[in-house]
Amino acid sequence: MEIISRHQLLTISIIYQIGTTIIFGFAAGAGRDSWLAVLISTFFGTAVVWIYTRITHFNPGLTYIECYPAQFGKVLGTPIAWMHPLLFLYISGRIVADIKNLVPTTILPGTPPWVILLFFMLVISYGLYSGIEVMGKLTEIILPIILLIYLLEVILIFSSGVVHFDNLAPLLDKGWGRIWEVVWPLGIIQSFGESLALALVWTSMNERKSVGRTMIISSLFAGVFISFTDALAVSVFGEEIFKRATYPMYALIQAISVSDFITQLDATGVIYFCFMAFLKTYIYLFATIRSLQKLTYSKSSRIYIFPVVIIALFLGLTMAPNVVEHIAVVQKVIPYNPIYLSLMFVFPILLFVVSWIRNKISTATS
Amino acid sequence: MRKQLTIFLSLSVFMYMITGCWSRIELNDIAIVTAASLDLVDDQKIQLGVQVMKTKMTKGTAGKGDSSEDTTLIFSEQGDSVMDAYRKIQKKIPRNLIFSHNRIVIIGEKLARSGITPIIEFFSRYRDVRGNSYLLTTKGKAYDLLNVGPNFEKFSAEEIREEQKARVIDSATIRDFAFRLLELGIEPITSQLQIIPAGEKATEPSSSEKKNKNNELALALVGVAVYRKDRLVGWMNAQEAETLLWLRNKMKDSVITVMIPEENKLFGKLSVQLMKSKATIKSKIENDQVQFQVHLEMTGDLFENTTKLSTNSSNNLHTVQRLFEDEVEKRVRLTIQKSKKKFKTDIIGFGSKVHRQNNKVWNEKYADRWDEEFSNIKVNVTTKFTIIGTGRINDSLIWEEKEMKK
Amino acid sequence: MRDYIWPWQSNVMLKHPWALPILFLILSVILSFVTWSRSKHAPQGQGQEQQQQPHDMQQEQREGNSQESMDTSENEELKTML
Repeated sequence: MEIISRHQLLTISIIYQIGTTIIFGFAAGAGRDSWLAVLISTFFGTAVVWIYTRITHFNPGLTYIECYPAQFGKVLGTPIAWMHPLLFLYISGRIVADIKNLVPTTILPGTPPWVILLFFMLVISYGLYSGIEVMGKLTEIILPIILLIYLLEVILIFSSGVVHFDNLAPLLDKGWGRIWEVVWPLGIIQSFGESLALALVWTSMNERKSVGRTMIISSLFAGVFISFTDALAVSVFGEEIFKRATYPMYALIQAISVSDFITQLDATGVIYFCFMAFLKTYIYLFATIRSLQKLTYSKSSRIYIFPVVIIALFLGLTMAPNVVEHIAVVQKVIPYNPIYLSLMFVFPILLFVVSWIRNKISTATS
Repeated sequence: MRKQLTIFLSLSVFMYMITGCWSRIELNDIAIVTAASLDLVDDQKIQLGVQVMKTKMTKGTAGKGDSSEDTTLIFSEQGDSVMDAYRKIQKKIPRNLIFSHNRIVIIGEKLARSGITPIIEFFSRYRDVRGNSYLLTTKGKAYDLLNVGPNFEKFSAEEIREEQKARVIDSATIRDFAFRLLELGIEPITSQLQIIPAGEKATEPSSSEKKNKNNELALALVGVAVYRKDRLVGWMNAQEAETLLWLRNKMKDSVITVMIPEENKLFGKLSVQLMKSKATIKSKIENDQVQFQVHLEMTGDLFENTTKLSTNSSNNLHTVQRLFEDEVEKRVRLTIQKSKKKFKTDIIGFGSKVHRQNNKVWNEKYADRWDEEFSNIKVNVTTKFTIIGTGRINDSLIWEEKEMKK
Repeated sequence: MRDYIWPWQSNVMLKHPWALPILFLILSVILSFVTWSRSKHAPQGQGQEQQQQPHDMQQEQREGNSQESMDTSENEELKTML
């Protein structure tokens, strides 16, 4: 069993939760109040993540997946538990499709997408083979670099003189309606419901007690980070262009032009995104193979790497013929899709309540 | 041993694949577009002209810095849309056109009057284009402006861009233009570019002289083109355009001259270079009429004084300051009047100020019909002018001379 | 009808959004049989939550350690195999 330290878990989850949201303009439907929508989503999302951590706390030694059969009984719990790896596989296919749409549009127009994705998946397979410990060390090193690059970009944007903070006023221009539309359910699912996949990493951590605290810190940090990026994008572009841009963060980097000397930094944005997507895909696939290992009682998870990666690649390549449909699925279908809602909210809450009651009973009878 | 061998072999194979060379375009396969011009020609076709940098890979650096040789080439083609024309030009050139270093986009008058949304569309969607290029409008055909040779820089597009950055006149990049187009309550403008002779004015040079002294023509920003939504409605001259800069707080520096009239025995002219200018616009809605209070605060240095006013006494400075305040107020009022009555478009952004400050009333009443409502607004302008310094001498030379004659 | 073979694709998800959940349900029930048939391979550490033992801190730590030591020995085994 690999062990990761508390700091490694923090870095993994920060990068994971910031994820691919900033590229696509999280909560863009809320217009100039998107930063507020993000903060509200963070508030609720942190509560959801806390519920996930409490579940593992009430079932010590078990991974999240094993809690379902344990608490609900084998007949009911096992199918529910099996839905999780399927969901993770589907979501990782979605991220692969995201990359398939982003990289050819922006920096590598002529390269066929399957080549880009093939190499991407090869690296991920190697990462899966090496285990979560290696990934923890990797993110420990890379998170400061990513934050540094981000800070540099922010400084350069401010020095380009394109920021107009009065674009953010008036606040709540069109009322709270827009904000609530974005927060529930899409806002909470997008970064915080997806932290469910991290639940399978928590048992690898050496200090079981501080999982909750670590996850709360990382959720709050990621939320503030995304909110700040959204606010910056609105102040540079204004509300209308922000809503219309396909990749707002990428356009933000394009706007950097400091004394005509520092311009054309597009590639850094794409590298940024690629690494975030890499880690997210890695965590989802890791969650998948770990769940598979636990559900089939295998000795090691390595035999599942090859089939899972191939399936994810296949899903990503065939998922959407163009960007428009892909984004339409996110906005129209996913918020109302029963899988997301049940696996991320309904079942965890039930599990939480049941575990809590059982915990109380067992401590009461001792 | 076997393990190390397999690693070594696979590394050497993979090394070739990660160099990112699949869809490479080498430097001598690209043609960098530095300026683009768009015109509407007969039967609704768009003529796209591009100014392309000539990069010769032979000869070395000696051939490039030569001033008599042109470093740019001009191409143009007509097409049904911008992309269509772009593709047709591509057929004429052996290299790929790259728009990422495009500095300016010039639009001809006919195209501007019929709406430039299609142009903005192309420049917002296409892959390489950045929103940093400046938009310019011109009377007549835009294509003619590309032919003027550069005076200071290597190509004329760079010169124009430097002029725009000096912010003598209000300017708009494509991003700014799109922002103002979509935002309710403020209308877009661009700078106006014309060819004028660099030396003296107007006596018609003979045509042969024009051809020989081609480099004495300069491209100059002579004013501002006013747009309503995306159609051109009129022009404003340079002085009025300057006041636009003041009102939008974008001024870098500027010069104002006032004249003391001849009846006064201290007659002459005073010129001040403005260093800082700040405008605050407050909106107030009273009885269904929108009122604005515009307050301008300016500071400047006095650099030229041909009156007999001694600049050494502070009383005189107060008089001079009041003179400038009146002048500034007059100019601002004139600009606002012109945009209200003549153009009926809110290029200063009064509407967006109402939006920001009283957004409920804006959303209910004015958002949809600000165009009509704008002509009925009342604006009150107050200014405060401070002269900080008077240059390197503190008293008038003329005054001294007069003293000595006695 | 052919759409139902590809329920993860975006056009199918837009037209028949319930196709994917049903696929998941069917797959998870089928795969649960795999779990039930393999439950005899379950390692010892799995059964501890069935016991109604009080949650003793020390015992938890000891069991956690033993699980870790089991898995690290497993890791060593795999490493020596390579």
